[in-house]
Amino acid sequence: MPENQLVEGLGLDEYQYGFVDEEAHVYRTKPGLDEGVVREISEHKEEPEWMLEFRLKALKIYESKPMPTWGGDLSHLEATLDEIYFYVKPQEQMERSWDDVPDTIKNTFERLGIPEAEQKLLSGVGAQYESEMVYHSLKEEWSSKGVIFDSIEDGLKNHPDLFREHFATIIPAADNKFAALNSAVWSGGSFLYIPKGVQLDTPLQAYFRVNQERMGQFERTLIILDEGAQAHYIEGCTAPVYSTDSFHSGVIEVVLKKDSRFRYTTIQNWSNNMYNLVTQRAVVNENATMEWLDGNLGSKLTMKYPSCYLVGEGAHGDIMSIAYASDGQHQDTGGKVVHVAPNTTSSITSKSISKGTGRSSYRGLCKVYEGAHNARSNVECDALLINSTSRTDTYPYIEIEGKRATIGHEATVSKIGDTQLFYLMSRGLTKEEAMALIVRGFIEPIAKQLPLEYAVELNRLIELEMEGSVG
Amino acid sequence: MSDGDSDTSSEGSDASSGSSDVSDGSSDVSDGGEGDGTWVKVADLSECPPGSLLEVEVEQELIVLANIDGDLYALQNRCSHQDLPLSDGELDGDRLECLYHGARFDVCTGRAVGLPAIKPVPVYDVQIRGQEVYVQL
Amino acid sequence: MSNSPQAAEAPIAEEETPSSLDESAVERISEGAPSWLSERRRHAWSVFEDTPFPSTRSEEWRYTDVSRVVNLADLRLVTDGGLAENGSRPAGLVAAMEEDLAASGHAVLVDGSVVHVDLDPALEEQGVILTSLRSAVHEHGDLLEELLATEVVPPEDGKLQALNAALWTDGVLLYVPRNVKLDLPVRVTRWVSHAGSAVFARTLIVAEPESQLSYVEELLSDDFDQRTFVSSAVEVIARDGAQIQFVSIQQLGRDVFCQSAQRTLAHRDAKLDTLNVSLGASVTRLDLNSRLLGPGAHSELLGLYFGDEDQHFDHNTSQDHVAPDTGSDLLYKGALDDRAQSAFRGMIRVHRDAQRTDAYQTNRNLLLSDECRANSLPNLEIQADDVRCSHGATVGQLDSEALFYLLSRGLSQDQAERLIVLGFLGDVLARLPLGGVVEKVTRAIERKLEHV
Repeated sequence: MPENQLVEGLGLDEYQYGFVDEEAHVYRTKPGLDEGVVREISEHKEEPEWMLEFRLKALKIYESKPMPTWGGDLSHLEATLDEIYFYVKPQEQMERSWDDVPDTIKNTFERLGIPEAEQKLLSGVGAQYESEMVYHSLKEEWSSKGVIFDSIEDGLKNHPDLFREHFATIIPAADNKFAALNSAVWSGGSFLYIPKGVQLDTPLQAYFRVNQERMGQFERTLIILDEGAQAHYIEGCTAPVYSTDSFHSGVIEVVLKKDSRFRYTTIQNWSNNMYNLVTQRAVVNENATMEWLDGNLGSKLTMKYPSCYLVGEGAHGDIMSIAYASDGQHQDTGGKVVHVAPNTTSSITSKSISKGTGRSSYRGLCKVYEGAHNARSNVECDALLINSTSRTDTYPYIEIEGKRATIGHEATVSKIGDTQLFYLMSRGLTKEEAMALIVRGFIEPIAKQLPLEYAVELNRLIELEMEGSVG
Repeated sequence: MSDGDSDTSSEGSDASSGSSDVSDGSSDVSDGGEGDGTWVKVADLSECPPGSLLEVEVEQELIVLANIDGDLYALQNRCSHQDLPLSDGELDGDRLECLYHGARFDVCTGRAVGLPAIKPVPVYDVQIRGQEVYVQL
Repeated sequence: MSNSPQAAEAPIAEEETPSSLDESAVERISEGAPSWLSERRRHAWSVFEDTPFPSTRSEEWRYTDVSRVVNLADLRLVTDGGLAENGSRPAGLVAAMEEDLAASGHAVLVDGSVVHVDLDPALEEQGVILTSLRSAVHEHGDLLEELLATEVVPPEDGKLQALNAALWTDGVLLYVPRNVKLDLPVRVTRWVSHAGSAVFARTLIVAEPESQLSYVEELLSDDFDQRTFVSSAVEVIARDGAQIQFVSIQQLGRDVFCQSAQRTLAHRDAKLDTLNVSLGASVTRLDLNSRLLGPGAHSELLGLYFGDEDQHFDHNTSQDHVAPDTGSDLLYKGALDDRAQSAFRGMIRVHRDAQRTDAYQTNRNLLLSDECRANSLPNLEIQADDVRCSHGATVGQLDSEALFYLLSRGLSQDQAERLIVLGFLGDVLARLPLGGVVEKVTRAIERKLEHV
């Protein structure tokens, strides 16, 4: 299989590209990053002057910030930054054959019980007719309601005022080194606007976007829900995403106006050579509710802490996180809630599983500012260790000003109980089946929040993983 | 905030030791002007040209001076986000952007205008007396 | 050493050699000391010089800006503390000593120097040692050489720990031989008299296998109007099957910066419990590291703090499970009023081979005003799998239901609030019911509540 082949899974693309001969088919900037690369990107996208200036300023900020010394081990990434291509322009629709899909992916699909036709869709090789129809009719329904669901580039082009009003106001470029990097070289992502009072029943999925840009390494997403709007957005899939890229650094900004409700679901299953560093933040206004549902199953290292700033009275933030770390993986995840206005509530639920030599770390913040009277927050993080070599850490930060808050935080660490296992095995299950059952039960409170097809795939994935765990 | 023709009286300038090195704590203290705090010299005007920020420490207070087109403003030199020095940041019009996480403040009022800052930063009254900058503590 | 606690010691002349904290002080203190000790002090001093002051950008000092809390150059090192020429004792000290009930022995320190020691003669006969560290350096050199500031609180632990290891002037050694059990606690009173001074003292407690002891110390002073630095290093070792209870009650005055580095080692089947009560001082920093080194070891870490006005508490604890089959349980509870602030950082570290660890950690904060602030960072780092670990932290205000109940019982609002706070904090004391300690601390809390 050619070294630089890319395959993407469900929810990412309708236009795929893989290439046999890279010179002929693909535009990309030279490896490494400098001002010239940033200018090229902006020029390619035909961006207004202010965006170019924003990118260039962000580049300087990125260069001046040191690598974080906490969280996971970024030393290898640091060493290879000069070799990464920071911008690869997607091709127009390319044919590609089923044969090009790596065997590991094909096998996984089979064992997940996904029929071949669907496999082809998932790997982006072909599009099923029915899905196409569904997609088209949804598109019409949404646009008639005034919903804007574009690629991020089109968002900037077609809705410049709305875009500029919110862009980088939730996550400024200087927020952290990787937000600065993303701000300099962002490409690909979604721009979503839901008008006042519009409530969407069907979840929006990344591959329903109008312009199918490949989910780039540095995707940028901006989501705005106007007053009273409601929606659910799903990004990602459970099938493994194979990539030669080593680095994914996304920025997702969400603004929820008064009385709106929004859920953002990500189930990430990058291959084990990926660094996945993401900044996600929502600003939640009066009586609005934000739910982050974050599943981290893949990647070599993920550092990701979805956040909610509860700035309007009565705002609510909910973060549900599942992390799974197996050999060679480190999931450093969690969430942050910041209570600013009175009568705000939040909850963080984190369930992590460490298997083999995997390491899962919960890192979170609950901060209550003085004016946030009656703030109530509850954090629960539980870790399950499968093997004696597995590792878990918990690093919560609880910072409370003033007496008007009620804050609770609990964490537990345990392994799969022998008695539990024994009982299940005595009922005829194999050890692997019993372990899978227990693990599924462990994550059930969060998994049940997933759309059915994801929950099913997640469960099957766990079964697969448990098979390897018994030595 | 700056007041070029405030009542300096003879105390302010004559008592000057000539030393404008604020960092060693030598400062001129005089009681001319509004309010009931003491006015303390914190810097020479030349040390903080338009568009720049200057870190000063006087009597245990950490202050950052900002010069916006000749007008001087003073804020507590502690970002309300994580207490890091605002003087390391930069001015963007009348906004001060903190270097460390991009928080933004209105220089005149100290109000937080950009995440991740939430709380305002205390501000000080400033007077320019001749070529010297005074802050009211 | 005399037999009764009231026998007056020959007063040590109070030589006030105003001195700064510098290398010459190290040399002066080392005069007459065995070479192993001078070496250690010099080494500690060079570690001190090489270590930068922790800044708030460092995780462990995030909430306490040390360089703004204390300016070492402003302090006057007291190396020859003691009583006044006429042997009179400060009123506060006398009052505290009179509260002390029956004990196995007593020690009194003034400005870091031991001015009085006594020990039950029966215990002395069994080989128990309670003495000032200064004399122990000569009389029990071997024991000290082995233990003092090497394994337990080494200078490498931090800048302030290094400073103490270099400049400590005196302290207490309590040594209990194998199988000897002390029925009554050893009671130590530590008084600081001079504003603007820096006092460095150490405590070393060793319990040989199957022995038993409890140790209660109180740190006291008047209120000062100038920053005063009181530094302690406490080393507690419980060998196989030994049982130790260590209690420290801190009621220092205003403007004191009280810094204490404590490390406890529990060997096989040992039980080593600590209780740290922080009520005084303007700034308190406690670093407590509890290590479980042998199977069957168990450690309870109890803490109680109550802050008002502008008090600042920074408790940094860690439970290190090194051997398998060990347990630890931490409970730190605090109440804060006015503009008081507390930072609690608790780490449970389960090392790779520490299977079947049971470790717990709870931090509860009761906030009584709008301006107080509580920061809580309960951390876990787990590298074994067959463990039961959990931690919890809460921050909240007075339970409105409990309040309502008490009000309906005819108590005034003030009385009801005080009762709830007492109950909240008293919960910790109930876990280590050492004679005299519960009453003493309860009275101290009540006195503080009266100002609320």
